Amino acid sequence: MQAKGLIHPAFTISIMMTSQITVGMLAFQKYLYKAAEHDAWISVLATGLCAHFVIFLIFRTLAKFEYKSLYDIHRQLFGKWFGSLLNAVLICYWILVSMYVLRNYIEVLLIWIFPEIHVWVFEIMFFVLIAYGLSGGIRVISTVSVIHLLLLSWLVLLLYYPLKEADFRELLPVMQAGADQIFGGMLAMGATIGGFDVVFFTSSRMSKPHRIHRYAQFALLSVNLLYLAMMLLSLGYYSGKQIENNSWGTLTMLKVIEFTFLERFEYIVIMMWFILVLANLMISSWVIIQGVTRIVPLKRKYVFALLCALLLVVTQAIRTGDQLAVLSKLISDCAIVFSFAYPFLLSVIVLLLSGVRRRRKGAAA
Amino acid sequence: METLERIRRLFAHHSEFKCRVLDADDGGKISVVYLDPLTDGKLLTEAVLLEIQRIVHETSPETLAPEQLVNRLPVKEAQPASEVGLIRDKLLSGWSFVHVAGFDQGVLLNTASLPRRAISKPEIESDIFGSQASFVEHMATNRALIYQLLPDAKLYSEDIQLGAATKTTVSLLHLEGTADPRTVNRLRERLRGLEQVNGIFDTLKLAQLLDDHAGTLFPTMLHTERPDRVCKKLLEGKVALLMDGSPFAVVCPVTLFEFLHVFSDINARWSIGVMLRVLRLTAMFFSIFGTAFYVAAITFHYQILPPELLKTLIRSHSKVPFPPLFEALLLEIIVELLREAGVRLPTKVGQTMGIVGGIVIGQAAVEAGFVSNVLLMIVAMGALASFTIPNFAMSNTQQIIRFPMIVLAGMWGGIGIVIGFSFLTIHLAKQTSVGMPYLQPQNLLLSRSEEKTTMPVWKSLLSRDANSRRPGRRSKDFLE
Repeated sequence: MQAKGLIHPAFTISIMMTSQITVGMLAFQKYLYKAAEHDAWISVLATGLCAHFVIFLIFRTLAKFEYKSLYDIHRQLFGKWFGSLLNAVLICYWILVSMYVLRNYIEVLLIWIFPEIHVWVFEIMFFVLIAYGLSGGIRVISTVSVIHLLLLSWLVLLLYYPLKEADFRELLPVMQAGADQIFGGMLAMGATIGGFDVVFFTSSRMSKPHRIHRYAQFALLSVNLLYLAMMLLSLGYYSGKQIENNSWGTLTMLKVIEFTFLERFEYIVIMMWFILVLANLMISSWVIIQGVTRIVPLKRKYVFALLCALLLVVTQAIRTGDQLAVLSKLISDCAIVFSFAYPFLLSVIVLLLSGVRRRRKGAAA
Repeated sequence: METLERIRRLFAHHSEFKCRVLDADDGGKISVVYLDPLTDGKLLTEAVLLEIQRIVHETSPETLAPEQLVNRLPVKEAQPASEVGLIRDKLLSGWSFVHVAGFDQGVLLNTASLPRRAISKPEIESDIFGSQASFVEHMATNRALIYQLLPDAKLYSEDIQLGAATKTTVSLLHLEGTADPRTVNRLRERLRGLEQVNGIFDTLKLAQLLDDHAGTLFPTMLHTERPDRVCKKLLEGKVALLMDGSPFAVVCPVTLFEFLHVFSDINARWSIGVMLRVLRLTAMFFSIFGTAFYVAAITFHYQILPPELLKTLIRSHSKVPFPPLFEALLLEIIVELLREAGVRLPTKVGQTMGIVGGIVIGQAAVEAGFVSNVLLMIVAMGALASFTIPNFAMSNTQQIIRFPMIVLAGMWGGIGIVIGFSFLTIHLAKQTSVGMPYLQPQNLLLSRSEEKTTMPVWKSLLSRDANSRRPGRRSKDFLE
């Protein structure tokens, strides 16, 4: 591995945050409320703690394999054929995720701003920009994710306006929901917060890899706090019925903001969300390309062209909002499996295998 | 005699070619040839002609041998030479050539006196406080200005000649140990690669030829006419290029943010300096996106404007027969015309033209119902904002990139602006300046060397540093 293409480990923060905060942030309250009602914030908290534990496991696994990419770890662990098969499954998952992000964001655009424009017009715009970014490699992608995240960070201040209106007595009484309800909320939240498993792939491209772990935990902590604040705020701001019937909890909450020169802030937020979605899609396309080129010896640009074609065709097939909702449900289930369950499973496998190997070595000696 | 004859034949069509012949006692001839306007007449008379006459009268003919002459003539540079090509080149740069009959070799003497102007005030990067010296076209003077400020033995300089016809000298300056040797090597190689270029007359062109990416609109090397700024950049570990004939030095590698810095920022208190830099950054943002925001809001997103503001905007726009996109482009082009005309005209006429043209055209356009008042104001503010950018190359870049932004805003509204913006960020993230990323944040508001000079002020305040030499450092308790 040459030192040339390596980036600073602090980029983990921006890469992880852009992977985790996407369309999920615009509309996650409804699903949690359905499961855990006004105790939904406990689900957010619990999911966050789980995620911290999973990150810890991920980095234990990575440290054992010298911070290689997950694709390479699979091949090393399970051999060429079964490893490649697993990689293919992973690639499919990432393609699904990028499709989910892309199509849902375009859905937001269609609903709120441009009802008359075709889906493929937006998609082409995205693809051109992503291709331009990808041509610069991981260095450009990570830089862009930092800039875009910083440019969106001031939006947090806007939460002051709904905070003024919120009534936190809605949260009382605490712990009314049973454990099964909390767990249901956790499942809904898991899909939203998932995406931190991107560190499995980016860590191999960073200098001083032993320092990535703390950056990753920090990024996850800030994302968790953000989601927790959003959930608490939504619970205080809306009544129960309003949350349940509102598909875009975050966006409608921003409607309350009024300046003397600007109102309807959700328009601006939706438009600015474009740059976040773009950064997110760049990262997932990069992950996909990394995987495909390891299985099939193709040029990266052709892989990306194929990916674009695939996304275009598949998203054309989704016509109604209902279809999209079904697909989104499927993908969020996958996200729980791949972000939470799989890293856990993998670390157990690694632990077992290393135990077996040690015993074998012991027996041989 | 043959050498001399060949030189004479070479310069047969040059009226400024002079050949002075002195007689020696033994009947031999001593010829002194030079190009008249390029040589220092006084030096030539006193140090060469008089001296030769003295030598001829006093001593034997052997002392007239070139090897002896080199040592005896009181000129700062002298060398024996017989090669016609070398002699020709040296004569063309103001040297003179002494040839004594009977010897193969002659002596080349540096008697050059090239025209130069006095050091003047910086015109483009003028400052109210701080040094008032700027570079001139003469490289030796420029180098003297730099060494005067930075008399450090580690300040290495290296000359490379560029251009087959112009033979321009380019000097590569860096502080050994501070500058990245990879940058220096990279620049040296690129400069060597330029040796066959026909002619370069300015560092602006030189910087373009040395760029990492030819396809970008953004300047990736900084031009400055201030010696103090060059010295500061050298201290930061950057490399400076000076070129004979250009009153601008080129500094690289640089980041985008350094184009928004003015040298006097660091002379002010750090809070004021940083505030000014933030102001300029905002101005740059506004000048690129201001008009585009207006077009997007009026064309697509009138919902985001409160009713009162919308009323004003619509009232002002209702008389205009054009769509906002066309209106905005029209006005932007008028502003561009005014700016370009202002640059081309002589200063006195230019000012009148700017005021009269701006006010008359602006007022008339609004009254005729061609453009709306509000747009006129926004465009004028954008132009004003772009004038705060201290670097002319960067200011030009902004002028150009606002046009695609306006068109995108007219086509797709806010999403168009965001697309344009994303394109810009990706583009800038891809740029490098001699290998260093263009967006590296280390020079965002304060560069490293500035931290060493200005940051301790507040660092010592915050950390209650015991070593602080400030008498008024923060005490641990309220004072009595």
